[in-house]
Amino acid sequence: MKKIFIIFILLGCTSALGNEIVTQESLEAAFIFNFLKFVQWNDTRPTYDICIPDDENLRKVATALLEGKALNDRQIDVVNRTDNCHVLVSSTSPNPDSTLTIGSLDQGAMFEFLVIDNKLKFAINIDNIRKSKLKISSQLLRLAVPKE
Amino acid sequence: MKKIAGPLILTFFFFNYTNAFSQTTDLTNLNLDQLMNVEVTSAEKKPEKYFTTPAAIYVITAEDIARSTATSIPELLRMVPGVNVQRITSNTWTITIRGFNGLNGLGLNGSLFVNKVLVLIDGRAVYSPIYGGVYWDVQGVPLEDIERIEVIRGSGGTLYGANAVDGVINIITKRPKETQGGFVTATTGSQDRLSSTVQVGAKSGGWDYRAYGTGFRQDQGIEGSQVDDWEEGQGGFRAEKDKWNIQGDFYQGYIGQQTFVDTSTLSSLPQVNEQEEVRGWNLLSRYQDDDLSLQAYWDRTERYSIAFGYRLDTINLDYTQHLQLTDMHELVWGSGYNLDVEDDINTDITQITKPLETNQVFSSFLQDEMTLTDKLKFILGSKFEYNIFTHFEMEPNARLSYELNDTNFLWAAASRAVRTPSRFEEDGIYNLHDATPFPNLAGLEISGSDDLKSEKMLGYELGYRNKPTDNSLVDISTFYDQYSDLTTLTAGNFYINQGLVYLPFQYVNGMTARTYGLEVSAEDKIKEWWKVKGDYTLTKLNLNTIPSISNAPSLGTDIQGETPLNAAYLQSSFDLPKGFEFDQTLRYSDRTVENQVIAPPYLELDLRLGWTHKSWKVELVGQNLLQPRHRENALSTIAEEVQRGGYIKITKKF
Repeated sequence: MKKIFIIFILLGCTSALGNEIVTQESLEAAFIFNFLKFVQWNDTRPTYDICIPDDENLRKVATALLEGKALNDRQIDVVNRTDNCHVLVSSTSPNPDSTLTIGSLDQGAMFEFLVIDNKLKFAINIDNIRKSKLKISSQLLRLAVPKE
Repeated sequence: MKKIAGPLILTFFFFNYTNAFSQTTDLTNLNLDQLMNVEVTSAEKKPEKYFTTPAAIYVITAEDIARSTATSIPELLRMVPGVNVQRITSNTWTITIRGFNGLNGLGLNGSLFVNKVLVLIDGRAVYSPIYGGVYWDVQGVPLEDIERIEVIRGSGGTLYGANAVDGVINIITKRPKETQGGFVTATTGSQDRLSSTVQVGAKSGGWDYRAYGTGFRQDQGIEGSQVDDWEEGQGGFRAEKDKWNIQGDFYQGYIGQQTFVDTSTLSSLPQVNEQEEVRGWNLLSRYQDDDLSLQAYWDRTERYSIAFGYRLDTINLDYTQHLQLTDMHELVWGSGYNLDVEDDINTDITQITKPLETNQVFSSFLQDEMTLTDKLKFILGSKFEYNIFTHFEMEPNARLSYELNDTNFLWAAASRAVRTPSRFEEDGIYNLHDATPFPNLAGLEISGSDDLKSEKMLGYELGYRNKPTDNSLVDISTFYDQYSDLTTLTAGNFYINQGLVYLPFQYVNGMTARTYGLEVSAEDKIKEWWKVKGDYTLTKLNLNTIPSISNAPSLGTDIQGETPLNAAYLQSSFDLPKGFEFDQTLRYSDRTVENQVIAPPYLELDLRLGWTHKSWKVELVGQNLLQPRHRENALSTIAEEVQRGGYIKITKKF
């Protein structure tokens, strides 16, 4: 019962999403798309390479949602590999210093997705971010929630 | 698929969300602030659909569980309108929906066999076909793992088959990917003497999985009466990869209880205290995609008491498929097969006279969900079932719903349901040579009957849901149900054997009933930090014995029985600063009567104070605080009073 009116509150603020089914995967993909806006990479490749090696579902959803889109004149490419990535979503993160890693903070990732009260949030490990060569806007970091 | 994992509602309104897929908003147009406020809906969880479900449904969410004072599933169900929970002893509850609590034939032991509600745990039925009913003492799913409990009042026969006459309780555990990490809990209190759960969740090779172990020791109720303390251990796992799901549990326990035994003399008491040994395991596998689901499970249950015992293996196969025929017609159909193999069923007191190695049920159902207009929907379907006792059974239903606008929803339903006789009602013999409940007699004999027919119910329901504001909800349903061929006992001619007087009873289809009622539930989030919810239940029973068939002495006409006429529940939850939570629960039940013994009305209060700090959570709970003890069930030969109590629980996440 409680869920019912939680949904109604939501309908109020995001009416665009009216009757829709929003999977965690599609939200994660949309988050990743937004992350790209707040991060500067030093390379000059024509693409943003989003590597999703482990999670097949997420890769499919992200491909459907993001392929063909462009940001800062770069095309977005969702790929199944672990090297030469701008963003790497993996449960075990090797930590190349110019890759934004999403996974488990305890395993060395910079970002971790959390589902809190049925909503997707993210937490950050500021040490791991400082160790990298990435420039991440504080606007993004401010949106992070603490991980319990 | 929806029948199993995302049960009834989804089947009712499958077309709602197939349509939804076609109008997807591009999420990349939203900024992070907006995205962080979007609710995640997984394939199995579509909470927004409850509002437009044409059935009386109530959902206990994981949040409700976290904020409740319950340490078991039966105690959780007290919050649901239309559901009557009576605690008989520290390990026994009778739980009914829309009436029929306790009243089963003569009431002698019958109270424990409330038999018109089907219970499923992740698609596995836990209704016992031997005596009919649910043994709540062995359904020990850790409460932390429950995603939600959907309680559907009214017949669920079309989708769930026989024995879902008065309703269905669907216990759905969290998916393994939602229980990554782990936790340890420790609880100690006056009733829950000691209990602990340990769980770990992880992933590897594409599989998400969890494994848990839990154990508890519960104190006996009133000192000096029956020894009803109990202890149990349970472990299990659930693993999921893509569309595959595998899960299983095992348990063993010792359940203290009082049992009538054969003393063969008039002088000594026929009740003895014993420890019933229970154990079992189950293994379930399911393949599920958007349109179809294939599920198989094997469940072993063993119970060994002095008077009743059995070993039962159940093998169950189920297939369900959705077909979008046209824009207007959405078809759901499925087939199932159930095999029960029993063993070790006889004791000195209870026997099954006709050994039956296997008991098979074949079933199919077909349901058409029609979108007549944007707002008007009509569902028509039926289950067809074949079983070896009563042969063909049919359980049709028709449901009409009208969505006036976003805040008003109306529905109506008519359905037919059956309860097939239990193994004991068909072929059982219960033989007690000294029956104190009938002090002027020496022997009591209850025997089953081959000629027993199914109990039948014709139900008519009307419901209305309203959202007065974005933060509140009102849900009203009414019903009128007609029952025929209800099973009861009739007494035969007494006879004298070795100087003792014996009175034989036999099961017959000797009762009819008309029941009607009203269930209202409402909730409101008054402030961001204060939620209130409550419900009210009216259940009127008119049970009538057919004198030409049954002469059962304790029954008569228009009997209300052991179901309270009025019941109410009120809960208020505060989110306080610094991670504190404070919850208060008031509940009221009218008096109940069995065999002219009255359990008086009671009002009880539970309080809970919770405190979360980082990965730690501490809860202090007081239960039944208004009086030292109260009686919930009138069956004085078995039922104990429920005591005031409390516990402290510590949870550490890692």
